[in-house]
Amino acid sequence: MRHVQGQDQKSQRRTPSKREEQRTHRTGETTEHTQKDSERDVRRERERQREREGDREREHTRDRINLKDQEKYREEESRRKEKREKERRKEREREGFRDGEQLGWERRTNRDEKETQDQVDMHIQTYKDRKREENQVRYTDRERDRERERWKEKEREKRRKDKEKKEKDRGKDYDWERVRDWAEGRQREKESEREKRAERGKERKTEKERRKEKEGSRDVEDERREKKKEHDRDRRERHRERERPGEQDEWRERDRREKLGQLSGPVDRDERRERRRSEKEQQKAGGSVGDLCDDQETQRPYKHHHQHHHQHHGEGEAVTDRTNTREEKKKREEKRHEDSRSSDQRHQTSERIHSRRDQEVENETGEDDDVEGGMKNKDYEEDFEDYEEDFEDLDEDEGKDEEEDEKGEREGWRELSAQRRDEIRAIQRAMEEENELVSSAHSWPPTKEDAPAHKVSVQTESRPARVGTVIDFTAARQREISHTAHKQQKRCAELLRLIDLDFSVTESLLDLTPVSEYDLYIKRFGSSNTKQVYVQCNEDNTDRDTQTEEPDTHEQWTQHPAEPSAVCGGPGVSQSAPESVVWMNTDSKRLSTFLHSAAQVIAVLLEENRTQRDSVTTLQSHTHSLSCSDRSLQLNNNLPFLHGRQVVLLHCSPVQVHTLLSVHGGCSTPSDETLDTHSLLCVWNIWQPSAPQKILTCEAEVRSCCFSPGQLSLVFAGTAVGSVLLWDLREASCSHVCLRVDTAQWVLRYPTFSTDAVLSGAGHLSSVVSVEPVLATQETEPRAPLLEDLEEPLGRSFQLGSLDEHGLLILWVVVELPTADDSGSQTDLGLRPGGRVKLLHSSSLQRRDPSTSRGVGEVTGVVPHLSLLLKFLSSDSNHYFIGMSTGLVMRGTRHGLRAEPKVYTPSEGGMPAEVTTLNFCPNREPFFLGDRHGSVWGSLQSELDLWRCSG
Amino acid sequence: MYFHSLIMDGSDVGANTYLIRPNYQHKFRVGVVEKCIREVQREMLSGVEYIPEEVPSLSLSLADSIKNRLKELGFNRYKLVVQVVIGEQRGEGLKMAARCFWDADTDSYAKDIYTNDSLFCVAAAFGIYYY
Repeated sequence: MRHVQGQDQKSQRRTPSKREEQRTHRTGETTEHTQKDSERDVRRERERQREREGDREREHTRDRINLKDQEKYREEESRRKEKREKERRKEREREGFRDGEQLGWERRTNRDEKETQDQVDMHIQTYKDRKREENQVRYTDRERDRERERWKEKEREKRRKDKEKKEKDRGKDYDWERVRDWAEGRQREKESEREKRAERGKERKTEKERRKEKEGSRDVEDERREKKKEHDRDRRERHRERERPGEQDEWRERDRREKLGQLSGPVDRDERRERRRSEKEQQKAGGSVGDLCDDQETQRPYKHHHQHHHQHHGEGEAVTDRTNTREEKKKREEKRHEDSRSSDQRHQTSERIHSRRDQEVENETGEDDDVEGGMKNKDYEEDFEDYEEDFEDLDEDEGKDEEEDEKGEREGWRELSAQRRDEIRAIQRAMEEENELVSSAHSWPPTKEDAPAHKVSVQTESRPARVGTVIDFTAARQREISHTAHKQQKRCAELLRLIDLDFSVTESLLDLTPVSEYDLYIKRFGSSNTKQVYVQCNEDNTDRDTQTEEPDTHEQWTQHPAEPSAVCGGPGVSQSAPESVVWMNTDSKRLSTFLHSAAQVIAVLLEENRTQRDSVTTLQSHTHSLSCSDRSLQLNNNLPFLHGRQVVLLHCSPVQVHTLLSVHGGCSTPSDETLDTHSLLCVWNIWQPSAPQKILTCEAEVRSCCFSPGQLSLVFAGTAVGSVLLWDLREASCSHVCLRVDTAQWVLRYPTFSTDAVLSGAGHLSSVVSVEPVLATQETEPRAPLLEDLEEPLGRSFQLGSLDEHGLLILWVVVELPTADDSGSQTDLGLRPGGRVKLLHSSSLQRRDPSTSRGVGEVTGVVPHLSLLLKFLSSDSNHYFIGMSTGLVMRGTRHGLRAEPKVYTPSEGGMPAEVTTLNFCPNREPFFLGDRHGSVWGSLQSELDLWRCSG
Repeated sequence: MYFHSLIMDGSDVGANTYLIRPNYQHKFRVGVVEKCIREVQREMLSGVEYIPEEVPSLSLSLADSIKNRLKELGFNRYKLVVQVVIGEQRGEGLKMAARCFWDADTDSYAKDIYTNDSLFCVAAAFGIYYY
């Protein structure tokens, strides 16, 4: 132990000698200080500004090292130069004075600031704001704390004195405590680095052990330590916030202690202060080893005390929960110191050493000022960083060392001594480094540094700078690196002139498109040995809109000029084709005429057969009634539509004797049916008595009728209303009204032409009593064959004479139109639609009544002469005879000279009788037979001679 | 234009003695490299299924073998960078691209893509001329 202490002293002695040299280095320090004062003013000015700008953010407490602390340092220095007792008092005054001064500054700088404010960089401004707030917090806290501290200090001092009386080591502990307060403040800056907590935990344990070994008198402290440990963790969080005020308080506290220390004894105080300084400096420079360990211990009483009195402040809580190896080592050093201090001489030497160190502390503080003012340049910083690295290495080493220490303490002193030697060497090196550092710091002129750099520097500085064993290597390495770098740089520079580097086009290495779902499916599908086919489902096939059924089609062909073998064909009619060919071979026209005639003949023959059968039974009875006739036929008038009708007239065709026309009047008992009022005309073939050939009808009462002369195709009729009607029997039955009676069908033919529509002036005004066709002279010869009649040209026109009751004879021309018009004629209103035959008014002849001129009328009396019958002379159609109701027969001609005699009168006078019929001699004799009503035929026969024509 | 290479001491090295262009026969030929890559890929990947545990080592060995094969081709003074990416075929879309800052006269790259049912492999070899 002794041996080690001696070495330690030696080293301490050696170090001051070096520091003296250093001191010579720092001769310009005082002048620098003056400069710094001005800077300080500027800084203070800034702080004022910041205070003005934002008072809200007061809780912000981060930056530890502040201006005030350094000012205090400076004050201490100045104090040291002067007499210290006086200094104490003056210091107090200065404190107050400074406040006033600051106010003055504030006022002054208000103006300055306005001028320069615009020029201030924004970034810097914000930083300043932050810093100012911190400072302000510190400032106000300090003001508050100062009062408490003073009181606390007194108490502490009292206790300290008591303890010092008991034991000198005890007193020294208090010194340690003070120093440690400050050191702890420094240390806490690094609290952000938590790596070392574990180490610290170990250290604490080791501390305990060591202390137990040391002295029994430290039991009290152990107790405190116990308490402290309890509180340690709880306060860690709070520590960070309160570090700054705590630190400040400690600083102030220390000042006060110094003052108090004066009272207790100048020697003690000086010694304490010196030691503190030296320790502080050592800690700062990184070379001091033993301070903080004891600090930790010595702080405990203080802290304990403080906790009791000012818990809310938590100054005492600035506890060394992060005490690192440095502190441990310092503690050890201090142990040695304590040992050495047992003798006065040693004490004095240590004092000397400490005094020297104090001067160094001055330098340090000056350096701190530089740092505070942000006047450090970058190189400076780098140096610090280098040191930091070294320190970290050393810290590790120290950790090991410490472990070894523990062993050593237990095992023996030999090992410890070796370790100590190393430590001492490390301390020496650290001192050297420190000197270099300080010199470098001074060599650079103070410049304004930006805020972040400042922070870093503070941190690095606060780190204990210690032994740098690697420095030489780094330098060498750097040299090496710089050498190679230089070479490479040169090469690069030369090459870059020769080549062009450019960015290549972005090359697409891979472009995988995502697989579609379908592809994936197909891929899987294909591997399952199956195929895919398309099908159509009937989803879209709806029959909602289908409206028509599918048409039936089949194929068929035809050709217009029919070939004998093929007219039409196709798959369906292939078998019937030969038949059609056969049919088409025949002349249809000829066939139809043939059939027509044949049908008539056959019909007649059939009718004959029937009548022959019937005649045996039925007709026999009739023969008896008609004596004058061989036999008779019964026309079947037992037809439904002929019931109740009276036969008004019968007319036989002069040409075709078997054709009979019967006229039936209207029904005697007319019913609602329109047909009952109509007249009916039936064309009979006497060989076919069962049914009429044709049935003609008209609305008016028919008074006369006749056939057309040559052919039986036309039927004329005169009516009671003065109209002449014409029926064309050739018209198809389909165009006429069909009367359905029972199961039989009867075709009712309406007139083809009626003179009703003809101008009334040209027509008859009374009932037409007779109609008679005008025959050509040769036509009197009977037409023999049937077929010739049919072949007779229809186009031949003839005249028709009609006579009414008043003797008006109208001649009509029968005109046959070439074509029928189904839509009806607009000019011929009497013509039925589809009719082809019409009557044209030719001429009118008015009968001159011979009675008036001859006096016949006088004879016959009042009865007017009524024409009853018209006959054209068959041999000469120009002559006509009219039978009168008075029994006279009048003779007239259509044109030319009047024929004589005009009137034929009955030879015997007496009652005149109506002429009912006239007939001519068929032998071409010029005789005619007249018939008077009620007269006997015989008489008529006798009169024939009389009425014999002159010709 | 090629500079004749002179090996000199550092003090004697002049400004223009660097060989800044490869010899013609040593130039990085893309076609050759592509063929080489393709061969290696065929050899090592045919019939290989994607097994996540084995693919890292597979890609590493693939890259190494490609690199060694390329070294045999004798691209003197070329730094070769071989990048191999092996991924599983799951139907996803993928895009890979590369961009280089280099001397386009001397430096080039070649790539080839190998795919089978279970994996795809993109191997790209970049040849950077070392001045």
